[in-house]
Amino acid sequence: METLSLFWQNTGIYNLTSGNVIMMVIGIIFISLAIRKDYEPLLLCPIGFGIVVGNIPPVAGMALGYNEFNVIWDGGTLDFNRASVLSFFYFGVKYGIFPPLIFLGIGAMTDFSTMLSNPKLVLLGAAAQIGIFLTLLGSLYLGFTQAEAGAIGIIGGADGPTAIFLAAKLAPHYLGPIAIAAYSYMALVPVIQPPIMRLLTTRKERLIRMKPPREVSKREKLFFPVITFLVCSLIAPGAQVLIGMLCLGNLLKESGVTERLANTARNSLIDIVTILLGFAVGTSTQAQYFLTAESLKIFGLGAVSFAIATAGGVLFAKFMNLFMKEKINPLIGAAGVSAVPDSARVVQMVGQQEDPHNYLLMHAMAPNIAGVIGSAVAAGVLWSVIK
Amino acid sequence: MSGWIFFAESATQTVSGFRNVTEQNGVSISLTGMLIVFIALSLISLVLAVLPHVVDKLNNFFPPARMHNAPAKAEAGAQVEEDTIMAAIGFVLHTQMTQTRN
Repeated sequence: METLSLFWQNTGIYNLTSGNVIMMVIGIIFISLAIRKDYEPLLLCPIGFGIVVGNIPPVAGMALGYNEFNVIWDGGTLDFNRASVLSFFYFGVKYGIFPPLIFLGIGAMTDFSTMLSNPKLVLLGAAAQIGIFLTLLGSLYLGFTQAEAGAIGIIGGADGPTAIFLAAKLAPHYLGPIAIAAYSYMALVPVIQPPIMRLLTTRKERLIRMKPPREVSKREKLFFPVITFLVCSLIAPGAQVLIGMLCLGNLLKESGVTERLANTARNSLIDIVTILLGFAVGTSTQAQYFLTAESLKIFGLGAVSFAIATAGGVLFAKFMNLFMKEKINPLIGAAGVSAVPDSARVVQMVGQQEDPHNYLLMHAMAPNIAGVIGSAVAAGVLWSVIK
Repeated sequence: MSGWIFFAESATQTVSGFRNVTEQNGVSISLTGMLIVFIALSLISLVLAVLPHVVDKLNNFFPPARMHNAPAKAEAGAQVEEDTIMAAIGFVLHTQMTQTRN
């Protein structure tokens, strides 16, 4: 009877708190959004299931949680028995290993031709990064420290791996809420962006048709990753890991002699890392650490950050139109918030609601990719300035 | 029930408002950050604008070499063509032999 009682006290049901239940419901909502609404299913499915797994109450004496990484150095041997399996998955998140690998895959799957054919559009990717820096101010206003504010601000970059990378460096204690906020808002790009885009543009502007992109030579495509890496890393050395992997991936793709490596990077590798990253981030949302007032503030700031970034891109496109002979459709400015390729798809969708024969996707990919580079540079700057 | 604190306030954060923004150099970090991001992407934009001209000049001195994988692709294409021809020959032979037997 005593054994049964002991077992009962160690069950999840006995130790379950209302917070765990709330988090599990959130996890199930994530899974439903992924399956029913098709919102970033590759991310929301593993994250949602990770949230459910991470909120099974821990049992004393059993290494199960994501944060139980107690590898002991014991007189010449390493004792791994006190470390949980989840903590090994989380190791890649905590020490910023997964984000650069994701960047490698993104580089290997992205065609930078549209950006190369219209370099002016790169500036839209820079303008959208205003969301990062205004959110940093907002975070400081709400009482966060400099490092925490930097990590929260990067949510405005709309780039999950970059957000995780910087949060792991500057504010590891807020890694869970920041990662969840970043990925949630990335998934909600089709909901958040369109009203802002319509509010800031006239119908006439939304109807602007852009010239088709020119054909880009093989040599230009080969020079691009090397030049981009050198420019970004020499200006912001903190960005060298993320930008370096992005450019390496692109070089593998464009070189034409490493097709096998490029294929692995853009298929198997990125898939494996996405599963591990999403699941590990999900497991780090245990209610006792996650359901705090600070998490709510981070979610609120993240939403504001996304809105500002979208507005920044659209307004800067309108500003550029004041000086340009060939006008650009200001909707594509919204794609400057990274979130590749969802924000570009949203631009296409909003544009086609006004004119079904206006194809903006290719044009929107340019600021979209520039946004990825811009947010990585912003992360590098924040890391080097704040530390 | 374990002792987690629902919506707990962090004990370490006491200063907030504009005082915290100024004390933590928020404005200067934001302005510097934005400026650096703009400089980096403007430079990339500038280089990309010049790149086609540089590549054109370069092509005059160093004509684009045939890529290593080009023959491989051609060989692969030739292999597919060969397989198709063999299959066609096989089909014709099979049809004729069947007809001869009948």
